Amino acid sequence: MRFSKLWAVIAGDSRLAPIGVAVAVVTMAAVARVAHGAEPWAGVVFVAILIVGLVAGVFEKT
Amino acid sequence: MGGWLLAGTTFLATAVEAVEALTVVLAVGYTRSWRSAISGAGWGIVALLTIVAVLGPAIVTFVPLASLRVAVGVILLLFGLAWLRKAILRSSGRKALHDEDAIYERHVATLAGPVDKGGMDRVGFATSFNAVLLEGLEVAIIVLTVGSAVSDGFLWSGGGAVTAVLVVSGAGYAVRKPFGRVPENAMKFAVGLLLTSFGTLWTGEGLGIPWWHGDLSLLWIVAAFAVASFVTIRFARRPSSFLDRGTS
Repeated sequence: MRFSKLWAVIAGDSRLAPIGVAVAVVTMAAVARVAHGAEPWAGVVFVAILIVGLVAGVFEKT
Repeated sequence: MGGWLLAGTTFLATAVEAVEALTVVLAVGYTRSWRSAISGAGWGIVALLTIVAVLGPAIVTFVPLASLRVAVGVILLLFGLAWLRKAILRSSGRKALHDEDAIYERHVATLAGPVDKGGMDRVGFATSFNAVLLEGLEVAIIVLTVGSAVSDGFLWSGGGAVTAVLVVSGAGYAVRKPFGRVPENAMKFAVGLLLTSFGTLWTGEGLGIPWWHGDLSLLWIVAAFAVASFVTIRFARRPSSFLDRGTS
C-alpha cells in the first residue's frame, strides 16, 4: 500500500489534510457512538489513528 | 487544564513565528529604512491584536462549548500535525533546516535599491507589515483556538503570545541581527507535539470520548505522540526504510 495514499486519507501537511482529519474525526465519532460514549479505549484508538497518519505523512514524497 | 501549559504552548508557537518575522523586519530596516520597518511591524501587530480581540469573545459567546471543542480540536490537529511532521522531517535530515541567516540574505538582496533611509518607504512598510501579519496569522488562530476551549483561556494563551513577542522583539533590538542559532526545529517539535495533543484531547471530548482521569490523559497522549515521533525520526534517518516502499 502506498503510504502517501494512506496519509491522504488520515491527516497531515498535504492538500488533502483537512479531508484526512475530517475522516479521522468522523471515524472516531462512529467509534464513540458504537462504544456508547463510555469506553476509554475509544481515545486510544483515536490517538493510534492519528499516529499512523503522522508516520505515513513523514514518508510521503520522501 | 494547566494555564501555564497553554501559555507555554502559545509562547513557543509565537516565538517561532516572531523569529521568522523579525528576520524580514531586520532586512527591511537595514536595506530600506528603520522607520518603515518598525511602523510596518507595529501595524501588523495591531492588526493581529484586533483579529484576536474581535473574534475571541464572539466565538466564545455564540458557539456552544461541545461544538467549539470539536472545531478547536480539529484546527489544532491540522496545525499540530503539520508542525510535527515538518519537525520530524527536518530532524531526520529529509528536509533542510530553517536557515534564518540565508533567508535574511535573500530578503536583503530582494530589497536592495535606492531609498531614503530616514523617511517612510512604502515597499519597506508593506514588506514588514506583510511579514508580521502573515507569520502572525497562524499564531492568532492558535491563540484563538487554544484560548476559547477553556475558561480564562484567553488570559493564558494571549499572555504567552504577548510575552513571546516582547522577548523576541527585545532580543532583536539588543542583537540587531537574525537569530541564526535559535533551536527553531526543537521549538517547532515541542509546539507540534503540544498542539497535536491538545487537539486530540479536545476533539475527543467534543465527540464524547471519556478520557482516563479527564484532562490528565494529556500526559499519556503527549508521551504517545513523542515516542511515535522519536521512533519515526530514527527510521526516517535510515537511507532506505521499509516504510518508503511504494512511495513516490
